[in-house]
Amino acid sequence: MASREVFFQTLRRALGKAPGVDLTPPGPDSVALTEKASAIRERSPATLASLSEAFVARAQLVGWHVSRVPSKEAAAAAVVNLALARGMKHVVRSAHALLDRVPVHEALASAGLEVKVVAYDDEDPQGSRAALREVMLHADAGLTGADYAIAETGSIVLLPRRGVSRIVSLLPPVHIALVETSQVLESLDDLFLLRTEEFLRTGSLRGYMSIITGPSRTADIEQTLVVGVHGPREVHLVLIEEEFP
Amino acid sequence: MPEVKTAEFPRLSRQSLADPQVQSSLRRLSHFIEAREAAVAEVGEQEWQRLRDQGRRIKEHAIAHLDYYLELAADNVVKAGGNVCFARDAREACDYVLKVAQARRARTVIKSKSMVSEETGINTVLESHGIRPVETDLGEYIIQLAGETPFHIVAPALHKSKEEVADLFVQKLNVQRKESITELTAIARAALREIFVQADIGMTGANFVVAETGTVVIVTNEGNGRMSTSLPRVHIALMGMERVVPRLEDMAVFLRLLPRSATGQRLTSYTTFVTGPRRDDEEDGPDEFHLVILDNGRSRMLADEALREALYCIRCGAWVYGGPIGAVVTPILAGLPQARHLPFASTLCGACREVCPVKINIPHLLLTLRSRVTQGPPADRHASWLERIAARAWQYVVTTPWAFGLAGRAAAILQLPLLRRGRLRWLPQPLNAWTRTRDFPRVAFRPFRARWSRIADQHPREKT
Repeated sequence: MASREVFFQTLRRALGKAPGVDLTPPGPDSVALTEKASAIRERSPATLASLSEAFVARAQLVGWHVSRVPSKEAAAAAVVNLALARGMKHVVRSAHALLDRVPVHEALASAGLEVKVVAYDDEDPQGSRAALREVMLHADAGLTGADYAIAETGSIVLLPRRGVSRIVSLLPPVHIALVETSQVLESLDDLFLLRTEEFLRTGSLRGYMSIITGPSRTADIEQTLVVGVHGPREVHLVLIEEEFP
Repeated sequence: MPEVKTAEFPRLSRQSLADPQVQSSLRRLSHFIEAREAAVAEVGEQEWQRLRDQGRRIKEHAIAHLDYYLELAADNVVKAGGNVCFARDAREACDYVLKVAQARRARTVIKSKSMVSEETGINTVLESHGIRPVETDLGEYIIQLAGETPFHIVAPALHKSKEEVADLFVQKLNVQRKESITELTAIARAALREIFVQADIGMTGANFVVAETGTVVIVTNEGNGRMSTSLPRVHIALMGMERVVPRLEDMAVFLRLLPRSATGQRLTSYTTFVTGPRRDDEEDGPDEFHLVILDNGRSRMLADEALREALYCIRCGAWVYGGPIGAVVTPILAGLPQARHLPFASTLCGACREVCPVKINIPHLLLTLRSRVTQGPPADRHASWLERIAARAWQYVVTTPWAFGLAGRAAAILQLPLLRRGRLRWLPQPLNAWTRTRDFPRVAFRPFRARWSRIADQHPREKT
């Protein structure tokens, strides 16, 4: 810790601060935060419908192929059609709760595809991780849900956890994400507000968050845009717009 | 270390100016400028100014309380299960990284673009201990294969044509020659995949570090940032100590400013938030997380009221079309004598100040540095003796009324043989460096002072 002390001594001298003087800036207003967070969670169907329109328009601009479907069954059918049209054989998927409610696994399997869930075996985490990575590296597509979608930027947000690997959406050449209208947020402000609220409420943040905005891309050779460098070259969004009961 | 190049700046810049590939690449950058303008226009001028002001205020606040926010960030990283190293200079940072790598018996380190790693020269240190650092940003990968250093932070391989890249891949990767950019990208993807899956350590920079949560934020378009933070068992993030922002909500402001300013994008393809190592209930991710916080001369910048502003920089790269913040930062970090030529390599047109997302007054900073070079020890001065005599003479003339009047009259007469239809379009050497690309303003035949006395007589000041 000695080097840390020296580091801060130099820093405080540079700032012209006397040691021990506390200039603590004000912390976040957690009451206001909680109110705003519940306002976001209780948005009306009409608001969600208009946010979905904005989200779809923006998502298409940043390179997502968007299909809008009226039901979970239609969502499963859309994924199967896509897989068959691309001649896919192997698909990996996360264990998002949404993918249990949408009968997509069964639909893909009965169309003759091999579907593998990326969740590690508790008995042998190292071994199953290595094996599943191999499967992911050779899969034709990765299928995931989303934790949020952002209308402002046309992005989806993934919060990795048990059953939601960081890399199902990254390693295969095609990523297919299923999103429900209730997940669409208006802006980046709303996303960070909800995350901050969770952080203050639970005292910790999850280890990882990915905001994904279209395909992997580069313009590093002659400033020419190419998609699919390290991540997927093709990204699909299936937006489920069910009537609210 | 990159500073070595800085001393060679005069020679290297002449070389680049004469390179037709570099010149045509720079012309193609106009595409970025258009994208940037469109992305800014979409936000609306008023909202864009509001965002810039907000970004500026957050940076001012964070830097003014840097000690507080750095401690907060470090404590939160530790709370999340990570480790923190405070490095006073490049050597301490390299020592720490090397120690971690050796403890893990690492053989390969995959790197996502990090300017701090260039600054510390960590690659050389790792290589000398038998550890292979591999750059994974496509541009940086090409540059590393070619054994060069990056051209620009946003476009490292700007100066390479696709034919040169094709030759390089054939030579270094032992693959069949392909010339389309899509195929070349596919070759790099395949080659780097092999390395990604077996690398022991992932090393990244940090575009921002959120103090409130201890979160490292990395923006990339290619996905190498996500690879480096998901696949290897150890993740080391390197940050310059000025990268810290107070709160997560501040990221909404900077994520609107940064990609628009850098590449004209609304948001980069991937924005990654890393808070410590993989949690127990997570499927992938590193078991170990290290954050290296680097001073390396930044506290000198902080102590220097006239230059502190340079620490607000979010490294957007927008100055590729304007003036170089690097010409401010490098002389302070590397030492003014080493980098004395850099502050002079700008026309001071002010475009950089207009595009800067956090409103840094770069022309003013450059002028401050120029005056310090000029007042420094003679051996470190930028100008030749001829330039210095010219500057002295100029100073005498413009501060001595009779000499100024005489010089004006003399210039008005001397210009006569060169005037063509009332314009000065050509001057003899060495002044033709100016007239090659623009007219020289004509010297007035009647000095303003002479005209003013008449104007003043005709329009006597109203008495109150």
